[in-house]
Amino acid sequence: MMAMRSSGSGGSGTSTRSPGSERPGVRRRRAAARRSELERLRRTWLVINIVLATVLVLIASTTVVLGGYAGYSAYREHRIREGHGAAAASARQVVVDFLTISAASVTRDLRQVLDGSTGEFRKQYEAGMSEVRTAVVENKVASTGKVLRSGVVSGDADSAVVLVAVDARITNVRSPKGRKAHYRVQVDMVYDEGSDRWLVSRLEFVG
Amino acid sequence: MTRFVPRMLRGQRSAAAARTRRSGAGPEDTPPVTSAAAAMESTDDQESERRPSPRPKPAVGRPGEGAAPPRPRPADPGAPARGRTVGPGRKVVAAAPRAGSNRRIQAAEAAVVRLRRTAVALVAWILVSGLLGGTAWYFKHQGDIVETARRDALAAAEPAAEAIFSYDYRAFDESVANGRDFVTGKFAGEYAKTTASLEAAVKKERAVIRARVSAKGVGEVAADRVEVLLFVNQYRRNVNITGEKVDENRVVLTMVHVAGRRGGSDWLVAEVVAI
Repeated sequence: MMAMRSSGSGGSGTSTRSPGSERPGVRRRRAAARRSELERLRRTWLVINIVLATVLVLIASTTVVLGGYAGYSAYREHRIREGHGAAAASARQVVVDFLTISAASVTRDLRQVLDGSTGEFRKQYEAGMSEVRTAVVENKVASTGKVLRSGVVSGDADSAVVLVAVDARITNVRSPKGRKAHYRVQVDMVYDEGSDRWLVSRLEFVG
Repeated sequence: MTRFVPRMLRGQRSAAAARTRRSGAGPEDTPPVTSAAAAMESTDDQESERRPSPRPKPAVGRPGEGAAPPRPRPADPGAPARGRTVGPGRKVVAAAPRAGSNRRIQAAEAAVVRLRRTAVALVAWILVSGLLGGTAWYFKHQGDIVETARRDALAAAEPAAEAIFSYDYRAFDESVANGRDFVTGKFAGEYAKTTASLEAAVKKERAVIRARVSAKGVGEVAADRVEVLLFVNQYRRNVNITGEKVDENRVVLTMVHVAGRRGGSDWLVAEVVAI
């Protein structure tokens, strides 16, 4: 053992105790042993690195995938809730417009309903408009609608069913004092991407 | 894992130094290194456990050794010009290294640096994506809670309304007990009072009131409180009317979440408003 220590300082003479003739073979064997030891360590190190890197990559990928899914899902749900809020607001407006009509502003009143509607309901309403106008003018009808409550029945990203509880005060030639009417209305709403609005595609009174 | 690196590098270095020495460069010809460099090299040797050195290993190490990552040391390019502690206070320096081993050391060190950078990037990636993912999960969870509340409260409101708004003079107490299963809080007292005041009239008129929900929708929603708008029909029969009459009602039930109920829904009626 002392031979190794003195290997670099043979000329100094202070620590050389073993004969130099033994040294080459011993040193070769030790160098070979050290090389194989180094090789083993290097391999272990490599394996540990690969395993660690794989685990890290897996964790990171999983986090990204799960986080992405959760984010998308939360965003989608948020958008749907927001959409249904907008759908309910539009439904209330159209139902009020539907029940608010007077001889003085009948053309504007009718147009307002038409503006917030689409599909089957729009077709029906458009078809009956002239008849309604005549009746309103002839009977001097004045009706004012007022929404009390609304509730969302169901829906998805671009459609919703909304209930509206609405009252109306109606006067006409036969009852100039007017009467109060209570309505239970259900409307089908659809989202119109072009105008970024919710429109009524169906309106019915619930029995 | 990184603990292996310096050992490998040191091992290589000392092997190179050994080869250099064998090549016959006389240590006597080399001037002594500066004391600072010599001190550094001697500590380096002391750390090297793998070196088959007979010297007793002193317990002293480099300050901070063990916690510190194996940084490539500034002295490394010239490292193989090593000082060796031979006796107390005496230092001898080996000759210049071979270029090949120097390149191998540098390559290994570059690999370590690359690996460390990759590891840091990966950990940063995990932290950032974990933070974002956690936030996303939190919002999704909150959304799910509200969505569940909406669905469960809506489902619970229909049987609750039908029980609360139905009476039968032939089994009045049963009707009231049935309704009582669906109410809670302040409204429980109100319900008891209302039904008590109704009892005489219901029995006298032989009233049978059957309530049916024809439509229901959700208004305001929170995790533990949901407002439900219901269109409730009451089909009434009594001695004063022939056949059946229908009242078309609009009712808002405020449903609240009551945890830990056995049987039935967790959602009970805390408030009733007929509009």
